[in-house]
Amino acid sequence: MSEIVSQSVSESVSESVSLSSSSLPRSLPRSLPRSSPPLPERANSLPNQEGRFGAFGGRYMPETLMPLVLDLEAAWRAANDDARYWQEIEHFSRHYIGRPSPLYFAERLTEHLGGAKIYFKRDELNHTGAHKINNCLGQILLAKRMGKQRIVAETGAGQHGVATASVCARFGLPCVVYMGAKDMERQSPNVYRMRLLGSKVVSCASGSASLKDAMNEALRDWVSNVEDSYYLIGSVAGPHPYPEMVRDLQAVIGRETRTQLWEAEGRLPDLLVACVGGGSNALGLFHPFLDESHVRMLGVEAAGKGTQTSQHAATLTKGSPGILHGSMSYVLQDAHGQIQEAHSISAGLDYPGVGPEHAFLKDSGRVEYASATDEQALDAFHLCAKLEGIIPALEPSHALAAVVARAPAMPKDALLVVNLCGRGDKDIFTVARARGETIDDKG
Amino acid sequence: MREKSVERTRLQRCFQDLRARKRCAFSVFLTAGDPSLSCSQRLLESLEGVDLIEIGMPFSDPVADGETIQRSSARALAHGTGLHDVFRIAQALRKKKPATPIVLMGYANPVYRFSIASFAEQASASGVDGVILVDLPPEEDAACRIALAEKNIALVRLATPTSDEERLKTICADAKGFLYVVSVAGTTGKKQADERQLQALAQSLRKHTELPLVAGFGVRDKEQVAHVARHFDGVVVGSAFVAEVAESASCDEAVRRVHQRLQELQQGLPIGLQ
Repeated sequence: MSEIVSQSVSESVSESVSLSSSSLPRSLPRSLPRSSPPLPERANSLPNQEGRFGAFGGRYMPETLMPLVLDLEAAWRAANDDARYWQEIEHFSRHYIGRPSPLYFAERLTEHLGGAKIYFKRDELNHTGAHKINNCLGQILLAKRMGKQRIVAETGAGQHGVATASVCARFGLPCVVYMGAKDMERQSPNVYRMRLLGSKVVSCASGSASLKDAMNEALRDWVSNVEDSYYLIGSVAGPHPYPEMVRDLQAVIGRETRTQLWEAEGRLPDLLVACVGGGSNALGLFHPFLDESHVRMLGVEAAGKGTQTSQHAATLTKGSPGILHGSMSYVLQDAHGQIQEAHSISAGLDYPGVGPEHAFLKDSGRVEYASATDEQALDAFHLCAKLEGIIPALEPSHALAAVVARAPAMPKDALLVVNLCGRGDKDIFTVARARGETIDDKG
Repeated sequence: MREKSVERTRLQRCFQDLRARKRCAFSVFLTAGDPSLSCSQRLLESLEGVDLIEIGMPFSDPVADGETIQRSSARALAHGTGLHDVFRIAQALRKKKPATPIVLMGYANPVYRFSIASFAEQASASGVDGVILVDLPPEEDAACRIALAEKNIALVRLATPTSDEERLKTICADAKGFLYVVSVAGTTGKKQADERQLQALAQSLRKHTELPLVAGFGVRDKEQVAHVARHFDGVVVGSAFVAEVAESASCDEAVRRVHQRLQELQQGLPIGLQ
């Protein structure tokens, strides 16, 4: 899994990137806000042995699950050190998922915006239609190694659920997917896909009936089925080692991007953009570049109806440090430490927590986090469909909204890569509803 | 309220006295603020013949709890029950029951949000003897454990059916007060352990600790109480009482039903030892 990048990469990088947002410091790594902790020597060495990314991360789990979490960590370490494990992943990545995904020059969008050269990392072309399957493949192979007999998962948009259901079918393990009742309604095509793939989909009606509640139920299932079940978490969230493991399984996105952009342009990108719910597609893209201080990164959260309202999912922008689902990170919470409900038109971003490494990267200043509203995401969705002939999922439409805002003010020779982490087939009903239209059998 | 360290804590007195009488402690869990602040206070104060009282601190995402306590937490949160209310209830209960240990049980995030230092301060001022935070394993509990220990309050650790010998060593190393034994791998109020499993669990735990062992999660009838009482120093019943509260139309009815259920369950305690 060595990174194929020349030593002289940084020499050829343009230093003169400017962004429309005044909130993005000009030379990020060298002029960190004085209140931020210094960047680590090697960002790639995190988390530490306790699963900490600075103050964030850890293992805040009920004791019943602690031995399982520790077992998983040991199994992950062993697999990680085993070349055969990674060979297996490479084999299935190529022949089952369809990797590498293309790095596509979005020429018409670039022309339209008139600034930076925009590339799409096409992870929506993966089997099952999103980046989620990269992680599911790695974890199902680990579950098989551990001799687990049953898979439990949570899902928001249903992309992780479909990817989990697919690998469970492929590797012959029964699968139960927990999904919020509200998400089952707005992502009904994915519910049916999971069922077609042989998985059981269980509706969660409590709380906001979305991803947070699905994760609660998946944890309750795991705590009640400790003998044989493997909990296949879909994002860089949860207790250690999940944030590290999911990140490392998604880092193929960033590694491919390095190679592909090097081939196309002979240098590294100036700005990476990805949406952040739990944050796995963003870390997958960002992580292999973290040590290159001149590569700027922008994570885009869902601002829902606006961060000035209570209906958003902008955890890093508006939240505060807290403990949810096994780790210390930023969470949306009230004055009493009760977790608040998130809101986003995109089911995959509708989560009041975020992966702990993002919390660390925010506080260290290495990555900038912004947000896009439902409306901005919808506009970007339509723009991408019309100009590039690609219907993106509503999740990366948030990243595209940030590209629309930032790219025009960047120089024409600046290189911008946005992770198109999912395709929009699942979202057509939601988009139609937002336009006041309905889709019936006659089309 | 602070006791000198040479004095026995309320928890130590409770378990030593019961041990001398060869009795198993009977503990009741009720959620603060369910169905209302005033009624939950009345319910707690009305508990008779209960050796240890656990007050649930409601949390929005109680992943270790089954539906009964989930709904109870949601009811309490619906009218804004916060830690200040929990402390007020504990303080009032302490005045009514000077000798009964009071243990607060909940999840870590509200405590962190309140600030660990203020939480320890307020818990001490309210006469609290122990705290159980179900999502704070030994790996993460140092800050809370030390802050509470300074106020002579035990951060009670949990042992479970999944804890192997190595894990039990870790858990028991800095355990204080008593060990809360999760009798089944599951959420509260769902599965039940059989007596053989309970006995095996108690035996393996006693190899690692002298602390009293109090078993809970999945104890809801008098037969189960009897099974636990034969092998453990204490038994906790939560969901069964919370369910009575949920099914009551008035506070009077809730008090009556909890009282009846309590009498019925206490019949499970070994005869001649009560």
